[in-house]
Amino acid sequence: MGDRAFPPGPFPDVPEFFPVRRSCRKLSGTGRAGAFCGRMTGVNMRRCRLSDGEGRGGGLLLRLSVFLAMGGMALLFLMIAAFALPVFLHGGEGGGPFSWTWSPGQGRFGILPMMAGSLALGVTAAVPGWIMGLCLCCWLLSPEKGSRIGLFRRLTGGLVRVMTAVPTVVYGFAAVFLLAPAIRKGFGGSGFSWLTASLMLSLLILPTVVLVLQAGLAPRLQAVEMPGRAMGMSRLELLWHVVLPTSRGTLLSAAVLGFGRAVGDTMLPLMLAGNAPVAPDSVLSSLRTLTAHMALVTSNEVGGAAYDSLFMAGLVLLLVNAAVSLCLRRTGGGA
Amino acid sequence: MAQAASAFMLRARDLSVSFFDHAVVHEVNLDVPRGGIAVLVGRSGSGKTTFLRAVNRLNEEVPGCRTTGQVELFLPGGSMSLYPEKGKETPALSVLRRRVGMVFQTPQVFPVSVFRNVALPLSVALGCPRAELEDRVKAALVQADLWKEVEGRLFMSAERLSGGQQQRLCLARALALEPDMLLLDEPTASLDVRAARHVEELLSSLAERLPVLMVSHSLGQSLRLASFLAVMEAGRVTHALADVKGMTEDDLEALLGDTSR
Amino acid sequence: MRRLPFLLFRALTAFSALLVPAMVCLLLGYLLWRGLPVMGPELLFGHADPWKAVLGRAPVWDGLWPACVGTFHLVLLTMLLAVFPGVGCGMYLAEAATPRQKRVIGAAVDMLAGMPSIVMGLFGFMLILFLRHTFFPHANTGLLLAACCLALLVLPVLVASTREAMAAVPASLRLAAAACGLSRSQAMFHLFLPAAARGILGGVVLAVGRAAEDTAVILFTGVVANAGMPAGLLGKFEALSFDIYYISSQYQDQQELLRGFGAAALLLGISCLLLLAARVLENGFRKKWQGRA
Repeated sequence: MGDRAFPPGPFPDVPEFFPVRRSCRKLSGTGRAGAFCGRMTGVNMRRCRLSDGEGRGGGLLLRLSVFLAMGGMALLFLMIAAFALPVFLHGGEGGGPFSWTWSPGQGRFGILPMMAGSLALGVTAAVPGWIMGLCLCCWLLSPEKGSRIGLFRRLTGGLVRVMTAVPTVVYGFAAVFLLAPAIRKGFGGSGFSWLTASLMLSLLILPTVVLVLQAGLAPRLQAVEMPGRAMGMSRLELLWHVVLPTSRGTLLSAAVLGFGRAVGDTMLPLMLAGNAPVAPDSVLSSLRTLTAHMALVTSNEVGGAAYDSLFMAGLVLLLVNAAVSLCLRRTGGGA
Repeated sequence: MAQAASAFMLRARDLSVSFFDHAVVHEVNLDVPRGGIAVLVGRSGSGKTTFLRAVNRLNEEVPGCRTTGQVELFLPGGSMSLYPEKGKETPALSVLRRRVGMVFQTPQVFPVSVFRNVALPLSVALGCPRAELEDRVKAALVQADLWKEVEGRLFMSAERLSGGQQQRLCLARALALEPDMLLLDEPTASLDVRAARHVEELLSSLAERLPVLMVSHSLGQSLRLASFLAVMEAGRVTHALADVKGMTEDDLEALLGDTSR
Repeated sequence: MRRLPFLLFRALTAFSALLVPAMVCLLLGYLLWRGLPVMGPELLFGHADPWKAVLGRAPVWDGLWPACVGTFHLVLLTMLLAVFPGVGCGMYLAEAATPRQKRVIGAAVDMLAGMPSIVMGLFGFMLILFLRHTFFPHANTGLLLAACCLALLVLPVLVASTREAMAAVPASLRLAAAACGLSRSQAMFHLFLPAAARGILGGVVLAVGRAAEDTAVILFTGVVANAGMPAGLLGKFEALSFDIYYISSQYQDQQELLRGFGAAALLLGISCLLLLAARVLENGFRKKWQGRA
C-alpha cells in the first residue's frame, strides 16, 4: 500500500471563526487582516513584548528582593571587616588582642584564652555529638521487621525533629537548674564548667547531625538494601559494612556542620561554662568562649580597647564559619 | 501565492529535534493540508509528541533541547515561520502559543477554580478586560460542552472535576484564547470510553471551524477522525495519507512499521 | 575478630537510642514539671488586672506580658522586613537565575545560614556605633535594629524553603502554563507562587520560630529586662527568650525563679507549636504535588 496523494483543493481560504471572535477584535482594536502581529496592538502588543523581552529575568520585584538580600549580607561583611581590620593591622594598645591575658583593669585585652575555649568546647561538643548522632541515625534507619519497638523508634524520630525547635535558651535554663547541680554534686567544683557546657552543646547539635546524616545515608542504604537483604545481612550490618565506609563525604559534612553550630552558639556557653577568661586546664574548670565573651563585653564594658577585642572575636567567628560553609560546599559537591 | 499557501495548515522542512544530542525527530518534511483533523500516529517513542511540540515551540521549555529546520504555519492573516532563519521574522513565543492552542495527554488543569482556569490565561496572557472576562469564559465553556455541567460550580477547585470534565476544561482554556490552530496530544488517552467519545465528537465539530493537529494512540480513533493521517516511525514520517476512507485498523497497523523493533 | 567492632557499634546504637531520648525527656520533663503548675493568668500579668494590662492601662511589674508583647512585636517586624527579600530571592534562584547567579547567590545564602546568630547581633551593634560616629550622634539600639538583624538571621530559612517549594512545582504544570501563552514571569506570579504557597508558608512559620527563640542577636541590639511595653520602633523592649536568660542568672526569689520556669515552658510550647504548624503545612503541600510523602 503506497502513500496516497494529497487531495486536490479547494480548501476554504479563511475558515469560519467563532462568534466570540468579535470580542477579540474589540479587545485589540484592529481587524484580522494585515501583518501577523496585527492583532497584538495597543495593550496586548506591549504586554507580549514585555513578557518576552524579560526572557530569563524574573521581573523587577525579584531583582529588587535579591538586591536587598545580597545588600544586607554585603553590609554585614563590610561592617565587620571595616571594624576588625584596623585592630588586626595595628594590634591596638596593651599587647593587642593576641595575648593570653584578659584583664581590662590593667589594660590587657587578649582574646587568645577565649579562642582556646571556643576551640576546646567546639571539639568536645562536636565529637560526642557526632558519635551519638551517627549511632542514633543508624538506629533510626535500621528498623527490623516484627520488632516491638517500632513505635518507640517513630517517637524517637519525632523527638529528634522536636529537638531542632527547642530554643537554646530553654536548654540552657533547664541545664542551669538540673545538670549543673548534678555535676556539682558528682564531681565537685561550681558545676558551671567545660564539661557541663560540652554535654549540653553536644545535645544541641545532635539533631542537626542526625538529620544531615539521615538525608545522606538513607538513599545509599536503600540502594544496597535489596541485594544486601538477599545475602542475609541486617540493615545495621549493611550500614556498618557497606554504607558507612562509602559515605565519607556525608560523615564529614555532619561533623563539620556540628562543629560550626557548636562554636557559634552563644547562650549555652554563656549560661553554663562559667566564663572565667583563662584557658581551661581540666574538664571541670570554667572557660569562656568567643561568643560568650562578646555577650559579656557588650554588657559590661563601655568602649575602647575592650570593643576592639569584640570586633576581633566577631571577625574570627565569621571566618571560622565561612570556612565551615566553604568546606561543606566542597564535600557536598564531591559526594 | 496566498491561495496556494492556504491549502495547508503547516509545512515542516528538514525539522530535527534532539535532546542532549539524542535525536528524537529526524529531518521531517511534511505538508499538512488544511481542513478537518490531521492525525499523527506511530508507536510510542516514534517522536510524534515531540513533533507536535515543535509546532508551538514547547520543546524549548524542556532542558537540553535543540531544534533545526523550519516549521511554517499558515494562519489567517498570513503565514509565519516559527524558527529563526535569515530574512524571516519569527513570532514572539507567547504570541505563538496564544495563537496555537494545546491540550495535553493527561488533563493539566491549574490548581485553581474552574472559572479561574479559563480566566487566568485570558486576563494574564491576553490582557482581557475584567468586564469581558465572564462572557468569554462562558463562551469557551459552552464551546467545550462543559457549561451545563459546571454552571453552578464555577468556583469549585478544578481538581475535583472528573477526568473527562478536566480534559474538556483544558480544551475550553485553549479555546478561550481564540487560537487559530489546535494541537492535541493524545487528548483521550487518559479517559474512559464514554468520556473519550464525548471529546471526539467535540473535536469533530471544532475541526469544522479551525485546523486541528492531533497525536493519537488509538488506530480506531485515528480512522474515525482523520481527514489527513501521517505515520511516524523512529523520528521520521514514513507515510502521509490524505484519504483514509475504507481503511481498516489492520491496514493501518501494517503501516506502523516493524513491531519487533 | 572482625565482628568485634560491629558488635560494639551495635551496642552503641542501642545505647545512644536510649540515652538521647532519656536525656532530652529528663531536661524538658523537668522544665515542664516545674513550669506547668505556674501557668495561668498570674504568670502573664502578675498582680495587675489582666484586662487592664492587655489594654495597656495598667503596668505589669511581675508578669511575662510585656516580654510576650515584645517578642510578638519583634517577630512581626522581623517578618515584615524578611519575607519580601527572602521569598523573592528564593523565587529568583528557582526560576530566573542563570547557573552562575545560582552558584554565587546560593553560596552567599549558605554562608549566611551557617553564620552564628551572635555575629548578626554584633553587626547591629557595629551599625549603631557607625551611625553614632557619622550621621546620627544619638542613634541607639532598639526594636527596629533588632528586627533588622533578626531578618538577616532568618533570611536563609526563607530562601531555602521558597526555593524548594518552587522547585517542587511539577514540570507538567510548567508546560501547560507555557502552552497557554503565559510568559515565565507571568506563570511564576500567577500560577507557581500560589501553587507553592503552602510550602513557602511552612518556611515562614519556621522562620518565625527561629526569630522568636533567638537570644544572642537581641542581646546586642536593645533588649533590656524591665522595659515594660515596647515604646516604639526605636525604643528598648523586652523579649521572652531574654527574660529566661536574665532570670536564670539574676533571680532574686523563689517566685521569680518559678516565673522563669513558666517562661521557659511557654517558649518551648510556642516553638513546638510553630514546628508542628510548619510540618503540617509542608506535608499538605507535598501530598498535593508529589503524592504521598
